[in-house]
Amino acid sequence: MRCIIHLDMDAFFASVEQLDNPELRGKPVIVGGAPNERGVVSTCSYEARRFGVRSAMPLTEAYRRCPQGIFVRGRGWRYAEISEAVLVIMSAFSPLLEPVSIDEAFLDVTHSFKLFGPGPDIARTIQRRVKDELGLSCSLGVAPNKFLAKLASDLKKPAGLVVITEENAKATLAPLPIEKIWGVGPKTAEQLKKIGFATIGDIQRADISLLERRLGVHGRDLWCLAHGQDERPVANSDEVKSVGHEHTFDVDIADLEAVKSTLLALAAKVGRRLRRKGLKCKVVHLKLRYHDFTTYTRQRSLGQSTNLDHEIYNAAVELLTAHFDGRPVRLIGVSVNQLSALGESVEQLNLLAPPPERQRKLAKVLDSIKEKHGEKSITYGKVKEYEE
Amino acid sequence: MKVSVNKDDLTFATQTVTRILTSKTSGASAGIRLTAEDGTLTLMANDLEIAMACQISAEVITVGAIVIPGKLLGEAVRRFPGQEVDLFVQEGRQVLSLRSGFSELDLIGMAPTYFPELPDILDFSRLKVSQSLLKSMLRQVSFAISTDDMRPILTGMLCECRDNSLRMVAADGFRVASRKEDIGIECPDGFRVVVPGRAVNEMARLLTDNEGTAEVTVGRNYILVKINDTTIISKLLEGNYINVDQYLPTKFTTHVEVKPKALLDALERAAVVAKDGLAGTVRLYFSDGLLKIRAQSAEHGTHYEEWAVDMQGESLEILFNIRVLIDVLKSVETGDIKLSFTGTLGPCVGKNAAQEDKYWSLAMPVRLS
Repeated sequence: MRCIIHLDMDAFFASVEQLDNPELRGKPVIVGGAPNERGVVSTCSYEARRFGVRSAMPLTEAYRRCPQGIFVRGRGWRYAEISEAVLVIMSAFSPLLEPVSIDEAFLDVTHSFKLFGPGPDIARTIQRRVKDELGLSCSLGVAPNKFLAKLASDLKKPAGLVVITEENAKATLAPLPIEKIWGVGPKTAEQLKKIGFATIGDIQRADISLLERRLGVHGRDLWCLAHGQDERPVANSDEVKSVGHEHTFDVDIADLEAVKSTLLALAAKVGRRLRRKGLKCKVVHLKLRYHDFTTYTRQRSLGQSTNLDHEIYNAAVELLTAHFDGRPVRLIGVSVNQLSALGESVEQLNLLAPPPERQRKLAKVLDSIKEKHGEKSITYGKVKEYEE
Repeated sequence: MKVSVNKDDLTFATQTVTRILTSKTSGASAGIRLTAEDGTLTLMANDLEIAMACQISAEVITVGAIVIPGKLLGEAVRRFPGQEVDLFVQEGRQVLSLRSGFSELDLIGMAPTYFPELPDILDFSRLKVSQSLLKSMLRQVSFAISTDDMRPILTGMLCECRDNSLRMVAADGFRVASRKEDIGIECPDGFRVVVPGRAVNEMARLLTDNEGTAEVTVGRNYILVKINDTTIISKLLEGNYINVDQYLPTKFTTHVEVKPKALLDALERAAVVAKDGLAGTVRLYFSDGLLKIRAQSAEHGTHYEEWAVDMQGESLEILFNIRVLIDVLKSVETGDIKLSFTGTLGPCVGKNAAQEDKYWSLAMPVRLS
């Protein structure tokens, strides 16, 4: 019998905004953009939910329902940072960690009982640590498989902790609407309702061959899930293999210097992301697309792994100048791979190229300014010069 | 063309010149030119960066020339049954017929018309150096030639001739090596050129420890080295080589004298667990006349040993990439090596009492980041 924990942050983006800005606490916070913009709500606080605001709702509609709402634009990097911190807490209990999105993850603790006690205790510890160390609330589900764990974490939001066991699985599932089953979207739900299924219990009682006739292979999966059976393993295959950014110009440009300035902005983004994740890269790729859509990708290996903006930029520029033929450029991109974690790397010192201490210090300062004032608060002069 | 040659000679010549052909070369320069004249058969490969010609004695019945795809000839010749090989090209046809014993092979070739000619070497100085000396110099220096094309000039070896001394230097930044030798003859103009690593490696392969001499001709853009019956002509690298002497430290904290073989063996033992790559690091700790060596990797295990060394100065803990340190130790030819350290993060200089100021090498440590 496996033991899987699913963690889901409560109103994640909105809670982070309330955490960082005490004035927002207890107020309806809507993350997504200004009320007159074309976007949608990405998250809203529980206070806003009382007004009927929901995720994925157009911002204009959210404003209609909750004009006193505080609309904020998201700060992706900040959410990513906290998301990482949550994952670090979880990974203390088992190496089998599978992040699903920025605010949810699975953890397989089947083999962690001896060290940390039974699954529900581990879940409680994680919940308490997230609250104490990060100041945020999350909901957890503990169950014998991923489907049930995810379902459980959703049952008593916010700050819930629900345990589903093999024994009570069927009974817990029975009264729930069929939409709660993984993979049942509006279309399948409609089909099922037509033949008289409204709750998961209805499916549990159904004949498996009937479902197979109606829904094909999917019918069998549905029947298994309705009975609380799900064999999918927790897979931590989401190891970062490469980091990259690209930019499509509004107007194709043939000015090499202008392309270079964009390249610097992209390289800086890549460097920043590597440093945030505590990684270094060994290989730099350049992607160059001309106005006629002919696309070239070139790569070069660095002598030494790096996460510094200019070392990435210099390699990319070298590739660019070697291959640029004067045609107007439509798109330019930089990506890096062969990543290694900082702690596990040794740096071979070079007599002829002293360690780039100044650049390291610069990166540190730039990073701390960006942490405090946002990603766009500071950039290189060369980037600014051509930005218009 | 009609000639008769010894099979082993032909095999050697073919293998020697074929080595410079890479997958990048194409067209006529991807072939080997065979030229028969004056009692010799000359095989030549030329990829425009580097050319190699090898001359073997032959019984020439009719003179002539043909170009044969490089790899084909090597594979064919090696497997011939007899001791003699007859080569024949019919007038006006581009087919090379090889006959040896009961075996006969016809290889389709090309006319030699488009085969690139060797460059003329202008403004040259020429000197003769003993092969064993040249071989020893290359062995002590060539390991430090860089393979990273970020700084192209460092992918070559500096050759400098002034007054009557010849000096060679290579530096990839992690390692530096310098060797100087009195060659006994006055080189009137002197030169300072950078020879590509590829050409250096080919030279090192051809040089022998025997008494023969090698003839070195240095021109404005090319170097030509004649070793026995083989000639290597290489383009020189353009640009100014760094002045390595300015990087050579003069103040040291710790001096240690060891037998290179003893330390080498210890490092090879450490390398058993600390494989190349990230984990290929060894930790040396010198203190109170004792050297402690430690290496480990999560994958393979740990290594530890300690023994007495002759040391002066402060105690020191320093980390090296094992391969970097091994290369430096291997470049010491005879006698003990004196390692002089400048601190945990500074260069370590290796010298050899037997060679006084003629030789030094330098290794940079690593640090955990």
